[in-house]
Order: sequence, then structure tokens, then C-alpha cells
Amino acid sequence: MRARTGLRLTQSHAATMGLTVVVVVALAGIVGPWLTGSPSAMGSRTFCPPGLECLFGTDDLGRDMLARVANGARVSLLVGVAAAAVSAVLGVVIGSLAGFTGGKIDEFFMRVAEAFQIVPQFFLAILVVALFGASLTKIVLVIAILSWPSTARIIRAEFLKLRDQDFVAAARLAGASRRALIFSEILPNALPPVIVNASLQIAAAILTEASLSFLGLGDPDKVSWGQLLYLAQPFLNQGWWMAVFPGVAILVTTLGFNLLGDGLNDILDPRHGAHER
Amino acid sequence: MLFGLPTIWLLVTVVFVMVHLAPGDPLTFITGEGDISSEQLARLRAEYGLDRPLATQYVLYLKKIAVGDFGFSYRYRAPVLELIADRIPATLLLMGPSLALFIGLGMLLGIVAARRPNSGIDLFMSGLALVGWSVPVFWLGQLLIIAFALKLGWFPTQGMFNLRAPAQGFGRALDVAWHLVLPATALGMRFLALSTRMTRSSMLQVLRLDYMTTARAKGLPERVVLARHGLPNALLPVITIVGMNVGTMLSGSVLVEVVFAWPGMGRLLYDGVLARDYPLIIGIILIVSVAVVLVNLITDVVYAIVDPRIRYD
Repeated sequence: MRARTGLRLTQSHAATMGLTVVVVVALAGIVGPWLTGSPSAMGSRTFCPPGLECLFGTDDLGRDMLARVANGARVSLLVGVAAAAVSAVLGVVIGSLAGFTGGKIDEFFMRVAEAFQIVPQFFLAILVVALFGASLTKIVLVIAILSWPSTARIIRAEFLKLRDQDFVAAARLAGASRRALIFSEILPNALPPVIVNASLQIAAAILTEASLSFLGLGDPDKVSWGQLLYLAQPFLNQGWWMAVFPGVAILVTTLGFNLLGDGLNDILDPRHGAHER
Repeated sequence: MLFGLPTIWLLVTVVFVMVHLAPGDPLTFITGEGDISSEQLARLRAEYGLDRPLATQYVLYLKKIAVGDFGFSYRYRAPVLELIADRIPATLLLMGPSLALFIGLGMLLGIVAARRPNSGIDLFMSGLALVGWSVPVFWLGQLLIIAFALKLGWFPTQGMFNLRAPAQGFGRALDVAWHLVLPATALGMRFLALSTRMTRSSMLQVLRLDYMTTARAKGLPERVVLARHGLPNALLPVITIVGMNVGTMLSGSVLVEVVFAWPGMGRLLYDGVLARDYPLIIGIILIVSVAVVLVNLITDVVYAIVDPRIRYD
């Protein structure tokens, strides 16, 4: 019993830690850019190493890395959250439809989801951005369109589990419409695993955006962490800090969202112990 | 087995549709921004049927893909398939040892963690796995270059071999292996993490099963119980996970190849993107995608062979 309590504590610990990190990064993204000033203002000192004079150092054009990392937080978080949100909406709609109606429609959507999950998403994202050009909106949409299947499958499974349960049958007998059944009976109960998944998907979307930007396929007008690493690549020798700080920012942020997702998973579904994940 | 074909067809179709939806003349996606004469353009237009209805173009396109004709790269002045075939060995050389080593290591760590669930060592391993899963591969590559190549000078910063090293034999192999250490580590970290997590959780599930108790009750030493009864069964899910993540491995490989200037397919894709060499980009993406779909199929089959409880109808 004691071991079990200890387990639960460490789990909520993960969620707390994750949440703290996420809040700090979000604050840095919201407030940071006002405090640090313009990310593109060029200073007189190029390759100033991190120290009292310039906290995170400056790049090859004398731009302040602290300001650039803070501005990058805004873009990376925006892409991550927006992509995960769009993908969650797509997944919930498709998953509910498949799970509630069943039959041919279900079969069709699950086949499509399977195909989406097998195909290497990053390569398709590269193709889309290379063909259609890079802008934040396009990157968000590409990531969302490629990542809805996991949410759809989760929602579908929940619908299949829930639709035959007593409280749904009761509502149906009471004369609830299909819409009412879906939106007020089943969906609210099916959402917790989607929230967990959304947190993990934000982390994945931030990594995908960073990877695209690192290949020079990011939005050229927006400073993002991946773009900073792309720009740092030729200068690893002269200015290691150009690569270190944006990368730490990505690592901390994705770690935060992954921890939050893992922690939420344990809190929202107490039947799952850490040993079953 | 047949499930693979519709997926591949769907993929090829999606690529065709995207190329035609993209702004601009589809011909630019065939020639890239290469310098070509107007007669050549007219000939290409006829060859791809661009002056004919869309449906005809689509059939022509499917026929070309089916026989492995991915077009011509105007930047490299060579058929796309040839260019890709040249680069595949380097990519496999990077991926193979890296994955074998780090997935194996992850299994070991996973078993160690599973033996004492929720102990200090388990939490440490799980934390490490979470970090390994969250770190961007290309950044890890940059860090390795900064630390072990630029500051310490232990390993080369980039490339696959040193021009002054022996061009063949043992010396060459040693030289390539030396160049392989950093990129393979960067690429493998994510799979170390994945394999640790998967082995740990499937080991924990297996450890509670009846036959494990039986094995212990027979008086077998714990080491034998784990190695002979636990591990083989715990490895099953690991096969699936590895199969399902081939796409992730390949995209990781692209990024690592760019960081380390490793002359593989990923680097070729990157150069293609920089040069807007569309036939090359599209060719690589199609080939990679088909490979991933096939590996997924093979994984399913292997899984069914290894685990007699599973049968596909």
C-alpha cells in the first residue's frame, strides 16, 4: 500500500514538474520578447561569448541570442499548440464519427488512419513545404493533417467502449437525439485520453517544426528555435552558444510537455499504474 | 500482405495530386530550376503527357513509377533512381550499427529497470529515457560535434572518411568506423530511449505471468528465469515498435546526415531541397515511403512467425 501511494506521488510529481516547465516557457514566450527587445537588432559585438555583457551570447551578426531564443519560444509554442489543437479537433470529429456510426464508415476511416500512421510523416511534411512554400500556417496545417490518426483511434476506442454503457442507454431511452448522445453523453467521457495525447502531440509538433526549420524549410520571416539551430550549424566552432541555448530551449519544452502528458495519463486514469505504460 | 499495395497507391496518388495542386507549372517540378532549352521542354511536356487530360497524365505517371522511373535530376544531370541507389549504402551503414547497438543497449537498461520497479535506478533510467525521447537528434549531433570533435578533438567533425587514410582494407574500415561514432550516437539516442521504455514495460507485464512463477517454482535460478522465459516474450512488442518507427529512424537519419555531412540519402534530399530539385525530392520521398510501408509489412509477418499466438487471416 505504501509503495502504491509513493508511486502516485511520483506520478503527480511528473505532472507538476511538466506543468511548471510549460508555464515557465509560456511566460518566457509571452513576456520575454518585450523584455529582451528585437531579435534582429544587430549589435557591434559579434560572437560575444555568454557572460555578464550578453547573457546568451551574440551570433555572427551581433544579434542577441537571449532575445532570439525568447522570440523563438513564441513561434515554437504557437506552432506546437496550434498544430496539436487542429489535429485534436480533426481526430475527435473523425474518431467520433467512426466510433458512433460503426460499419463501413468506421472501416473506411480506420483504414485511412492506418495508412496515415504507416507513411513517414516527416518526409511528407518536407514535400508539402518544398512544393507549397513555407509559412507558419502551412506548417501548422501540415503537422495537424499528418497527426490526427492517433487522436481519432483513441476517440473511436472510447466511443466503442462507452456507447453501449448503461448511462448512454438510459439517455437514449429518455429520448436524447444523436447529437445529444454524442456531445453531452459520450464525448465528455471520452476526452481525458485526448488531453493526454494532445500534450504529447504538442511536444511532437514542436520537434517537427524545429526539424523542418533545421532543414531550412521553416518560415523564413519568423525566428524559431529550429531556425536558430540551422543558422548555428556553420558556426559551431566560433560560437557554440548559438547552438546550445536554442537546443536547450527545445529540449526543456518538449520534456515539459512529455512529462505533463505522462503525468496526466496516470492522474486521469488511475487504473493504469506506471508499470503498465 | 496485400494491404501494402493500396497504401502505396494512395501515397503515389497523393504525391501526384500535390504536385498538380502546387502553384506554378508542373513542368518546373519535373525539370527543377535547371537550365533547359525550349525543345527539351516541349519534348518533356509530351513525354509526361502534360498537354493531355489529367487522367492520362495520372496513368502515365503511375506507369513510370511502377517501372522505377523517377525522372531526371537536372542539378546532378543523372537519373534520380541512380542517384538514390548511390547513396543508400551510406544511409544503411549509418542506421544499421547505430540501431542494433542502441536498441540492444536499451533492452539491457529496460531489463535492469524492470527488475526493481520504482527503485532509484528505475526512476533514473526512465528519466533518462524521457530525455532521450525529447532531445532533437540534430541538436544532439551539434552538441557531440562541439564537445567531442571541436573541443576534445577525439572524433572528426564531419564526413565519412579521411582522404589521407588508407583507401581500402582494415585501415579504411577503421577510418569509417571512427567517423561513424558521433553520428551513430546522435541517431541512436531516441531508439535507446524507446527501446528502454518498451522493454521495461513489456518485461514488467511478462514478469507477472504464471509461467514465470512456474519457472521460479521449478527452482531455476533467477538469471535463467529472466533470460530464458522472460526476455524472449518481452522482446515481442519491441519488434513491433522498431518496425513502426522505421519512418522516424529515416527522418532522424536525414537530420543527422545534414549535421555531419554524411554522404547518404538524407544529405541528398537536403541538397535537393536547397536546389529546388523537385524530381529528386519527390523520388526520395516516394522511395523512402514505399520502403517504410514494406518494412511495416515485413514486421507484421515476422511477428506472426515469432509469436505463434498471432495469425493473420
